Formats: sequence, C-alpha cells, structure tokens
Amino acid sequence: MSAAARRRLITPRQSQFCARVILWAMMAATLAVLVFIVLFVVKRGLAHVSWEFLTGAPSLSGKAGGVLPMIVGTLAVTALGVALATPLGVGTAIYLTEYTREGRITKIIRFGAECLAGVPSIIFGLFGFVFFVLVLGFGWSILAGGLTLAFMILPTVIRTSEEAIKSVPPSYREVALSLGASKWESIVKVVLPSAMPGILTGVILGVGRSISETAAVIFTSGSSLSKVIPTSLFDGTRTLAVHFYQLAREGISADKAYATATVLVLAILIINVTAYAIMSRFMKRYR
Amino acid sequence: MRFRLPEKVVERSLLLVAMSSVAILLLITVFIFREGGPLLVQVGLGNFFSGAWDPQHDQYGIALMVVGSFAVTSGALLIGVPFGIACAIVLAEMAPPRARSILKPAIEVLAGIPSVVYGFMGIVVLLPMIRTHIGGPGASALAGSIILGIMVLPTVIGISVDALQAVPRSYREASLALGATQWQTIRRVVLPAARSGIVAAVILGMGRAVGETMAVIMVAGNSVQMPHSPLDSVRTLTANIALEMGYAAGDHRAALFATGIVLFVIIMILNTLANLARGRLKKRSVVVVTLAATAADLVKPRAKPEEQ
Amino acid sequence: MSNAHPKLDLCELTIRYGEGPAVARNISLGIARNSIHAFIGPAGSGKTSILRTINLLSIDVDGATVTGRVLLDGQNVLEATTNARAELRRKLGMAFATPQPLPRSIYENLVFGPRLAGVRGKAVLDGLVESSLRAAQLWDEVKDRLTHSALALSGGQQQRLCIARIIALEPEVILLDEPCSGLDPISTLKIEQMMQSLKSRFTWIIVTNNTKQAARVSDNTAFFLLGDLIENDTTDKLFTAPVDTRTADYIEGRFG
Repeated sequence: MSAAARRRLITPRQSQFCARVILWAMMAATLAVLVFIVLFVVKRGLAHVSWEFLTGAPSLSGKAGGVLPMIVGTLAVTALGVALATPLGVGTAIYLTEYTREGRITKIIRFGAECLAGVPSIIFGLFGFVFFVLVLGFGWSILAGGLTLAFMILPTVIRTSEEAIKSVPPSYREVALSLGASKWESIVKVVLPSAMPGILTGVILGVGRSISETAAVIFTSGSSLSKVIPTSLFDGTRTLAVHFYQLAREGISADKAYATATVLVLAILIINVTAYAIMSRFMKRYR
Repeated sequence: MRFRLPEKVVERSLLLVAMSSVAILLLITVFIFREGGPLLVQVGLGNFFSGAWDPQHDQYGIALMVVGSFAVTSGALLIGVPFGIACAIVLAEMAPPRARSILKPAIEVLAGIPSVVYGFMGIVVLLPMIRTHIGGPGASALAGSIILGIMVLPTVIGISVDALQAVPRSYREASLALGATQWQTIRRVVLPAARSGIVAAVILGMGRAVGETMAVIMVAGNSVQMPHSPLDSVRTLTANIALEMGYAAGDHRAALFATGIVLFVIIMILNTLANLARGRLKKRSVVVVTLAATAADLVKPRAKPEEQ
Repeated sequence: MSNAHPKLDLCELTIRYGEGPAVARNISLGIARNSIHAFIGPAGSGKTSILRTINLLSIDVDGATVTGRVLLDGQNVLEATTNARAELRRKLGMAFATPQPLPRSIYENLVFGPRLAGVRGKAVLDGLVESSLRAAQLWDEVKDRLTHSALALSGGQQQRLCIARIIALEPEVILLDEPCSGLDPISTLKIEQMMQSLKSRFTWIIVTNNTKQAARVSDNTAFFLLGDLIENDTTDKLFTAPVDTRTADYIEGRFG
C-alpha cells in the first residue's frame, strides 16, 4: 500500500511542527555562525584600527605600522578590473537581451559565462601568472592583477546586467523607437539608464569580490611587502587580502591581523549592503 | 542630421564583446594546458594520478592531493548541503515575506566575507577547539571540511532558493487544497519538483569546495600524506598549487600547472553536470507526474482509511 | 469616399507572425490628408497590427512578416533601410493603448524625440515644449511642474503628454492605438477635442474598440473582422447605411 496509508506514529501536524523547528534551528545556526565571524573579527580588530593604521606604511614586515600601500594597491587592481569588466559585461548583456533571439550563439555565450563563473580563483591566478606576468611581460604588477580580476568578475557583471536589462519594460523600447530612436539609441538613452541601478549592483558586487580575492592576485600582483605607495600600473603590489593572509599565516602579528581583517570585513559589508539596497529598490520600481 | 552608427556595425561589435567570456575561457584553457600539458604527457596520465609527490626527486604524482581534495570536499558537502537546503526551504517556503526580506540579503551579504577571513577564523577559533575537544593537531581534513562547509552555503542556498521559487504556485495550492499540510507539500511536491535545481546547487557547491584555496591552506594542515582519520592533516590540489608556486621552477612548475589542469577539468565537468541538471528543470512533465502521484497518495488514506 | 491623393495608402497589405496565419489579409485602404480615420473591429481583427506596421514596429519589434505596400506620399515605407526608419518614425508618431511616459521629467519626455533628431539649444527646446503642450491642451495643467516626474501625472494627462511628445516631433501622421481604452470619460473627451482641434495640422488614424468614439471623432471609418477589411467609408455613411450586414451587426452591438 502507499506510504501514507500505513498507520502513522505521528500525525502530519506533529511532523510539520518538528520539521519547522528543525529547519528554523538550522537557519538560525547558519546565521549565528556568519554573524559570529563578523563580530569576532570586528570586536578584536576595531581597537587596533586607527587613523595611523589606515594611513601609515608598514614596518617590521607588517608587525608595526599601517596598511596604506595595501589599501592603494587593492583599490588600484579593483578599479582596473571593474573598468574593464563593466563594458565587456554590459556589452555582453545587451547583446544577449537585445540583439539576438535565444539560439545556439546565446547558448554558447551563456555556457562560457557560467563556466567562467565556476572557475576557481587559483586557476585565474595560474592563468594570469603565465599570460600577463610572463607571456605579455607585465611582471607582478597592478596591471596583471587588475586584468586577471576583470576576467574573474566578468560573469557576475554579465548576470546582473542581463537581469537588470530584462526587467526594463519592453514598452520603453517601443516608445523610444516610435519617437525616432535607432535601436542602439533606444538602448543607450532609455534601456541602460533604466537598468542602471541593477547594473551598478553587479559592478559593486564585482568590487567586493575583487577586494576579498587572494589566490588570483597573489600570483599576478605579487606579495612582496612594499613600504611605498605604488605609482605605476607596472608596480607590483600586495593587496589588503594578501597582506592579511601573510599576517595570519606567518603569525606575524595578531593585532595587525585582526585590524586588517576588520578593515576588509567592514569594507565588504558596506559594499554588499549598498549593492543589495540598490538592487531591492530597483526591483521594487518595476513591480 | 547627426552621424549614426550603422546598426550592423553595432551588432557585430556587440557580438564580439559578447564572445569575450568564451574567448577568455578558451585562453585560460590554452595557457593552462600549454604549461602543464607536456609534463602530463611526459609523466603519463596514469603515473600522474597514482604516483607520489616528491619534487626534489622529480616525482610528480598527485594521488594524495586527489584524496585530500576528495576528503575535504565530501566533508564540506556533508555539512553544507543539509544546512544549505534547510536554509533554502526556510527562505523560499516558510519565512514570512518580512523575515525573508531581511534573512536572504543577510546571508548573501555575509557570503561576501573574504575566504582568507574564513581561514583565519579557522586558525584562531576552530583549530584550538578541535585540539582541545576532539584531539589531534587541529589542522586537519575535519577543520577543512567545516570551514568549506560554511563557505559553500551561499552557493547551495542561492541556487536552491531559485529552484524552489521556480516551482509554480499552483502546485502548492493544488497540494494544499487536497488537504496536505505545508510540510507534506514541501516534502512531496515542492522538493521533488525542484529536485534537479537542488542537484545543480549541490554540484556547484562541490565545485566551490574543490576550487577553494586560501581558507583550506590555512586549516587543513597541508601534509602530503594518506589520511586515516578526519583528524589527519591533508593537502588539497589547490593547496598544492598555491603552496609551491612561489618557488617552483622547470618541471616542478609544470607539474603544478598539470595539477591546475586536473582541477580545471574537474570544475568543467561539474559545471557541465550542473548545467545539464538545470536544463532538466524545464521539463515540467516529470513534475506533473510527481504531483499527480502525490495527490493520489494523499487522497487514498482519506478515501479508504481502513483498507489493510 | 473619393480621394485622389491619399496621405497614406495601404496596398494589398498582408501581415503574419512567424509561421502562423495572416493576422491581416490583403488590406487596401487610403487615408485622406488632414482627416481622422478610425479603425474599428472586435479583438483579433488585425487593426492594431496594421497600425504597428505603418510605422514598422510590428516588423522591428514583433518580428512580423509583411507583404504589400504602405505608401506615405507615394513612398513605400516598407522599403526603408534600417537607418532611414528612425527618420520615418518621426513622421509617423504613435501613441499606445496604455500611456507610456518614460521614467523621467515631463520636460525630458517632450524633448527626447527632438534631441534625437538633432534639435539643440535651450530656447528652441523650451519653445517646442510649450507649443506641443499647448497643442495637446496640457500646458495649463503642467506648466509649473515641467521638471517633475511624468509618472506622477494622471492617466489622462499621461496620454496627452504622450501625444504632446509626438507633436513635438512635428509628425505628418499620428497613429493612436486605442488611446482612451484605460481612461475615464472626461479624459477621453479632452483627447477627442484635442484631435478635432489639430485635424488641420496632422493626419490621424485612431484604432478604437469604442464604436461611439469612432462615430464622434472620425471623418472616415474602416471596419475590420478577423484580418479582413469588411467596409471602409465615410463615418456618416458607415454608421447610418452600412453595406455589409456584419458591419451593421457590429456597430449595433450584436457582437464584439
């Protein structure tokens, strides 16, 4: 007989109650772990984050001093990565949504983007090392790191841009066309401005990923500790995340490690909260 | 009249841009294979997978790293998948809209925590805990599994929630209308209907775990050895690359790239599997059959409560 | 109906989407200069598809296949190159069934088209905004809030804004696709008055489900049924002495 016809030890109501309790407990546990991580790091690190820490140069291999060169290096590789990934990602999204019907080409492009999204950062690191650092001769540099990061965050930008563009009402395009816009003009003047918040979310998430990335930049921008602020695209740099990795792994200074982690975590939190706030406002507008 | 870009030119240029992700993927494939491929041929695929790792004596075999990656990944899934799916069910099915609008962003935002920070948390919190309460040196496959288990959560949760939300509302209503409780509906209608999407979530979570580098290096111990218990130290494929890349040269470096090839191929296979699983999500007929069966299942005891 | 040189001449127009059956079959119809021509008929009669084909939206947006000719002053619209289409659409302004203001200010909505056409200079644009709003009888209602969002206007005001937006382009023909379907009677009346007052400046085609509206505003009326043109005549004649019984049935409200 069917399973439900067996004599029941507990009623459906009871099993529903149990399931609810267990599932909510697991949800709570997950959140608790994540919140614990943030609070733990920030609580121990915040006391050591000072103006001098943020604006000073490191000394004694990071045991003392600040992290300004790393902050500048992180911003530089991130800016470069985003500057390159944004036009590529938005262009891809425009092509996929506006210029082609679903077919073989879109399947290939989507598959490519999805695969790229799944490629581990260490592979990006290996590739960037061979291609940018060695073959193209950029050396360990901001340029090599930024280009590698651009490749890495491209799928994120594509996906969020595509969703944003798709959510712009089709009537906007018709209106623009009927008022004498070419297809391209209707995209640039009407569709993109309307999709901008969504696109921005993707870009901001890309910024977040770039800042927190370690494996891909350690092989492309290098990890040597520099006391001066990088001034050229061809300067090597140690990003904040790489610096933190060195501090934590080598056990150089617990205080500095917590402080660096606090800067990283707070930056990421602010960035992601901003991104999701923009996104949720954007989604509300068209609902 | 102003100058206009001819539409054909626009379309062609956009197609070119759109092919960039495919081009990048190919570029990565070509260069990783170019660096590591010759060594794979020289050593032989069989030896590479079964041999010992001893770069000082030109021995390049990654068997132990494959075991290490396998160990921490399966451990991570054992921990991450139940919690991930539980969170997804709560988010997609149970949480009231207000709670959901806070919980989902909270999990996504926290997911942005850098992997080095997870690794660091492992070092300062998890390893001492394992040492004092369970034993062993602390840095171990177990520690790696726990940290990775937490790190795959956002992937598993995100894709599972999408899969659950893609189940048409009418299925739930049909089931509830037949007298099923919410939990029966979730277990017998929604979860089966979302099965392939959840499978995709698990596979992509697996990909995330296999590919994670920094956090694992910090907690898994990294000894090239055969683990006999979860408390033994292991080295993963990713750790092997990251740890030795800094000083490797010649064949040694090529062997690291060859390790990268293995990793890359594993990830591509996982991606393709996930893609296939997600493609099946669209075949609704399967779902309809499930629903019909469930309806029958639910109705029967009510219609003939005393049978058998 | 006699008109030697119609402004717009549809010749043997057939429209289909994909592999499906034709949604409009072999339509031949002349639209007189500076007149209001109403297209009536029940849902699925093909009137909107014809309207959307006149300014090529059905081809460029919906992917329709069209045979036949659409002559604007003797020039076949359907043969326009991709680059000439934008220019053409400026001559063939169109308002949609639901008012479609763009999510920006009233002023920005009005200058959107002229700017694309290359009109520059604040004074010129300001002048265009005022004259087109006056033409659409909207100026007095919105002159103090031109920088406010167009989305804050009422439905009727939005639709008049959309028509003002077309007028700002100085078109030759204005196509209205059920412009009053979502509006209250007073807003509808305002739009009808505006059409009457601007008849001397433009040629109008209005697709409507409301036969009374067609009778009120139009000079000529064409009745469509299931993709065929059943009858086309002066509005007076079509409504008082229709030739075809199906026309009579429809305007008397026996179906549709």
